[in-house]
Amino acid sequence: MSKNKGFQQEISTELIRQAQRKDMNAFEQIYVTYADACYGLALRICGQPAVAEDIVQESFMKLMNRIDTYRADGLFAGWLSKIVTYETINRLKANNKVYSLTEEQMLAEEAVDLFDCNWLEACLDLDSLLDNLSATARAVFILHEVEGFNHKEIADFFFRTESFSKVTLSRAYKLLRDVVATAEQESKYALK
Amino acid sequence: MHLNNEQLLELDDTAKLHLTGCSDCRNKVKNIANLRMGLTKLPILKMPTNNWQQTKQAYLLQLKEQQAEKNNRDMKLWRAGALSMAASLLIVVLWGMPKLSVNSYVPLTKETQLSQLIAHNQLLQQEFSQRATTSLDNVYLVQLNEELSNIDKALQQAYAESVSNKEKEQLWQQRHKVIGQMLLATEQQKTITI
Repeated sequence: MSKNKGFQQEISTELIRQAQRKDMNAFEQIYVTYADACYGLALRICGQPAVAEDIVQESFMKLMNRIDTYRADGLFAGWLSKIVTYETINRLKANNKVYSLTEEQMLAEEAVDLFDCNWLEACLDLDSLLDNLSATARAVFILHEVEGFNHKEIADFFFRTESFSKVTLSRAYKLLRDVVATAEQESKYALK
Repeated sequence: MHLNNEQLLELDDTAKLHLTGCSDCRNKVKNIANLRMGLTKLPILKMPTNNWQQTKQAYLLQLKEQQAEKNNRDMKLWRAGALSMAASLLIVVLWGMPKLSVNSYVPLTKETQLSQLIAHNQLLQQEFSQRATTSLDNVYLVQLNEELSNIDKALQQAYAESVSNKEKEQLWQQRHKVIGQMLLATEQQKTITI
């Protein structure tokens, strides 16, 4: 096993083969390796610890049921993170927390220059900052910027178009930048 | 014209080509890389408790339920198969029976014995059908059931080829024995369930 963290950790192909033979000890090792990463991903998207724990359990049950279908054509952790993502987004959908964008909203051009500096540098509590986003925006942001999924993959998770993912991401950045700018201004006034 | 925010966030081939000649956009891409570097500092969130045992139990329960569902399906199929087999066997037997009338009565001890054996088989079959209401998840029962199906096929063939009564009797006796074992097995299963 590697010394990386989260979904960067790798497990041996032998362990995967054992799991494919429904060896419960192998499943347990996989669980111990990735449970925190799955929990972190689910919690950052859904924002509720109890729901996130439930998502982890559901995801691992799906993993145990479907491990026969895993073909070693990609990283195992990537395969698992997709299961967790689908499970989490399905929960959001079930709770009507996924919004839709109208065509007008999609086409509306955001003229603001968001990346003229590294404005995130000053932010100390990233998790609190992300709480300012809606569930959908947070999901798209985490999946693209933290987990490394591309717009096409994200569009597939949500059953939406790539434009939906692109627009949602740039708007999430805009909102975060506004929040950081407001906080900076407030702290300046407080110092005065 | 410079790249917009969406293009900067996921560079396609056209955007990459643009970057080669635009230092403004290159700087923005560099800023995005720094922003992303900041995001890697997100703390690792740990599960409050290790829920492996709970997950394992839930999985095993699910497996058990799936198995029970499968057995129920098999049982339904088996019952339908056994009933149709018994019905077709009965038709074959009745078809092959000598037509008796008051005037043509001839005492045939062998035939009588065979008829009694068939009747007893039918009785046992009925009793088994009544008893076997639970799912057929006993491996031994499944094996016996297969054996019964094979004997039924052999019997059908025997009647179709009009083999001697002695051979038919042997087959009916085998069938009698197997159903008896099946009844015994269901009795034991019932006792274990109680």
